[in-house]
Amino acid sequence: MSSEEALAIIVSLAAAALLAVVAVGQGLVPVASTDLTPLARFYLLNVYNGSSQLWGASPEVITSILWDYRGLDTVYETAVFFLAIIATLTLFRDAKLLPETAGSGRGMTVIVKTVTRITFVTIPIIAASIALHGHLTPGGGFQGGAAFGVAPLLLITAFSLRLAAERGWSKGKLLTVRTAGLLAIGLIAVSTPYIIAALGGKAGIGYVMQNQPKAWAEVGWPYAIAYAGMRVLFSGTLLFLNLAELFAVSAGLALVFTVIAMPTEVLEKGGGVKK
Amino acid sequence: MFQGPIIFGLTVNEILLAVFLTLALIFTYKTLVERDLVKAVVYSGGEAVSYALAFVVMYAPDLVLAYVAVGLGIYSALFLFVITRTERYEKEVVEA
Repeated sequence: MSSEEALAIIVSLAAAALLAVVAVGQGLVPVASTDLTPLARFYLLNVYNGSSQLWGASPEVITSILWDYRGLDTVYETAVFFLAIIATLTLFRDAKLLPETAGSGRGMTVIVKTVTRITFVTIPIIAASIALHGHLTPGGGFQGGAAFGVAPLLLITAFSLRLAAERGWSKGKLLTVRTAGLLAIGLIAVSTPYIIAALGGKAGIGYVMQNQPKAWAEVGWPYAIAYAGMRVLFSGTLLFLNLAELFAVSAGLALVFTVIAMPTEVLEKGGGVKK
Repeated sequence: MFQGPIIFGLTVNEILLAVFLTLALIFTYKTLVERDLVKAVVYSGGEAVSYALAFVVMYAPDLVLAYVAVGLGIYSALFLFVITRTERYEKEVVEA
C-alpha cells in the first residue's frame, strides 16, 4: 500500500468519524423519514382511487408515475437509450453477422453449456413476468427488458456467436424488433383520442401519454376487461407500454451484445476503424 | 410501519443498510486497487450486489430488479468483452 492510499484511507476515516460525531450530536438522524411527504401522500391517495380524477388505474405507484404521471420523461429516456444503441451501430455500420466470420464457434465447457440450456429458458420467463405484471407488482418494461438482455448474452458467451448467427440472428431482425417497440410506444403516446373514436365514442381532446380520462380531457383507455366472470385489470396504457418497452430494451441489448461479441477484424473491416 | 427491535437506538433496517453500504465501500476500494482487471470486474459485481441489497432494505424493489440485471449482468459482461480486446493486467505506472 502506497503512502497516497494510506493517506486517502486516513482522511476518509477521519471524515466518517466527524460525520458520525455530528450525527450523534443531532440525535442520530434516521436513514429516511417515516413520515410521508406531501407528494407521496398525493400518489398514495390518488393512484388506485377510482373516485379520484387523477387516478392511474394501477395498484403499482412506481409504474403509474413512470408511464402515466411522468410518462413523457420515460419516453425521452427510451429515446436516449435508442440513440445510444444507434450510435454504437453507426461505429460498426458495415460489420455483417455471418456464420463464417462469427468466430470459432467453440464456446465454453459442457458444464457451462448444460446450465445455460436451462437458464436460457427460465430467464425470458422471469423477464416476461416482470414486464407483464409491471402494472400490478414491482417491475416494468425496462426491468423486464434488462433481465431479458442477459439471455442472449449467456447464449453468445457460453455457446459462441457463431451458433447465434447459424440460427438466423441478424442485426436487421433485432433492429426491427427494437424499432417496432419504440414505434408502439410513440403510437400509444398519441393514441387516446383515436382509440375512443375507433370504439365508437365521441372523439374529444386528449393529451400526450394520457391513460385515464380527466375532467379537462374526457377520453381515456379502458382499464379492465371482464373475462370468465372476473374483472382482469390491465391499467389502460400501462400494460401495453410495458410490453413495448420489454421488446425495445431486450432487442436493443441483444443487438449491442451481438455487435460487441464480433471478432475484432470483422469490426475493424466493418467500421473503418484504424489500428 | 413495522420497525422491529431497536438495537443501540437503531432499527434493524438501519443496521442492515450500514452493513451493506460498508460492504459496498470495501468492494469499491478493492475494485480500484486491483491490477487484474477480471478480478476487478468481479469485485465491482460484488459492489452491485451490495447496493442492490441496500435498495431492498430501503423498500425500492423496482430499482433492485433493474439494478441487479444492469449492474451485475450487463455491466460486468460489457467490461469482460472490453478486457478481451485489451490487456488483462494493469501495468505499474512508471513516474517520469
